[in-house]
Amino acid sequence: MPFRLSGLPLVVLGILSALVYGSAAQRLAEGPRASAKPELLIALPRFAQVLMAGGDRYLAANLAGFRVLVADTGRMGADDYAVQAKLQRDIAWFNPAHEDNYYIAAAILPWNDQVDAAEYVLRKASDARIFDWYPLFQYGFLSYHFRKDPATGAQWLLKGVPRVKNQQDEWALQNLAAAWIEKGYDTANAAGMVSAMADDSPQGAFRNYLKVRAQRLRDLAKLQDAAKRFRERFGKGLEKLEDLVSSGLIAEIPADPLGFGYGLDASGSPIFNSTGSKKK
Amino acid sequence: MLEFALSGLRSGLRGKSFQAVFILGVLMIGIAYLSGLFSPRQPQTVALDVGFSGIRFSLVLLNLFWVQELVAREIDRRVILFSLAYPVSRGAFLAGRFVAILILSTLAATVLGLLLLLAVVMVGGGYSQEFELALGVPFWSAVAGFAIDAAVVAAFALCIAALSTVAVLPLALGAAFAVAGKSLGATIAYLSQGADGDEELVASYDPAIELVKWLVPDLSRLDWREWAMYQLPPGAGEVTWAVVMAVAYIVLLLVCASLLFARREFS
Repeated sequence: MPFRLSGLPLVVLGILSALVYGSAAQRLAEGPRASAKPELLIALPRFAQVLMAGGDRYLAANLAGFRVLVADTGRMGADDYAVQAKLQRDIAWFNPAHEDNYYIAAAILPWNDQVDAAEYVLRKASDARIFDWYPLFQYGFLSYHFRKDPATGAQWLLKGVPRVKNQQDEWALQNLAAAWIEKGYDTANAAGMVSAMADDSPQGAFRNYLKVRAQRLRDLAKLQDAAKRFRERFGKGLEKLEDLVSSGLIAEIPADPLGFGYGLDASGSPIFNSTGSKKK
Repeated sequence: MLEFALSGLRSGLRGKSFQAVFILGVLMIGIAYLSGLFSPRQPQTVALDVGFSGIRFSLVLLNLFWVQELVAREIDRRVILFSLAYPVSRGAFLAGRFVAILILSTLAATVLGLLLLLAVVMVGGGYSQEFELALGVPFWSAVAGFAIDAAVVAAFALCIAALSTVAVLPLALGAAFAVAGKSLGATIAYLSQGADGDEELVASYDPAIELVKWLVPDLSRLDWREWAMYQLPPGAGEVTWAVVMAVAYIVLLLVCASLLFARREFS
């Protein structure tokens, strides 16, 4: 005889399962949850990313690229930037010619202690995009600003010259390379270059991010300039940043839009505070 | 053979799964358009890139569904007995069906390609990106590459259909083959560059990949999208050898399929 479930047993089973479901949901709600950060959570191994994209390297590059693009840089900490650096290295491996990838890597990674990753992405992009001088320029800027090595930076700029399509850009690159070699590192110069990058980007959060970076560099350049005048006037270096205000050289210490603030290096020259000391 | 091709074309166009997958393809073009809007520097390139991936995915699925509908299901439902009652070889039936799938696939590739072109032109509305796309011959050569890729997958599925007694097997194995073939290039590159320093991984997978690369064709060699996206044309030799590899593999699979099919008994 086939077993049939109807009437009272069915109602009892229904109530029972509702009770079990309710208590299970209650238990789960009370239990601890694995902490899930809203930004970049994890980066899968490259091979797994390719498989998940149906074997399509270009799709894997774009999928990882969207993750990088939608991550909110305002909320990211050092761990998140390490994951972003891994993702951007992966994208550069899937599709080295990806323009957004090298552009974002150059604009965001080195400022957040990921200079090696930015160099990797830019080297891949320089090799793949043989028609594009911009990755070479960015690589040069990395050497100039982050490695404080203007001579190597200038060499990378000059490598970009044969790829430039108009005479004006060619001269601009050659002049910049010459200035780097002759004068060495200069913060105001770096601020101008980041500002130009911002103007070259479409409207939106990314452009604003670059503008903030450029503003910080301009403020730092002003502080460094004031510190130089302080030394000339008083014949000694700064002991604390506030000396610039008390001596009347500047009206106030500029506010850092990113919240890290400015400090002094061993020689008494103004620098950015370390990114690690930011209070969350 | 012509009869089989024509009847295949008719039922292929009428099939519900074809219509469903085709709608999926059109949706993917829509996704390509939207993903272009994400890109700060190269919206058109990203739309084109994602659209190409969408076309490849849709074409492979369409080809698999056609093999399923035109061959596997006919065998499953015993309708095939009517077709085989004609005084022609069983190989001619398979070849006819394959030609029908090729024609259907070319049609689908053309329509999806035109839709993608439209999406890419539309996405570039507000921002003119610095590096222009190559939307003429380079674009259509990339689409043709995806169609050839899908044809290899169809031939493999057809071969499975010729010997399988389970109707969904060609679809399932065909999809696995498509992913394996497409991943092969990336896998070989990953292992040859040391797999991020994981020596154990290299040691355990290298011998397997050495064998697999003779059995499964490297379908990523049929992906020429960089020409359209970055104006970086692939080498003529590379393209020629990729096409030769694909065609030879298709012929090999079709020969296997007809040999297997000729010996098959329908109870």
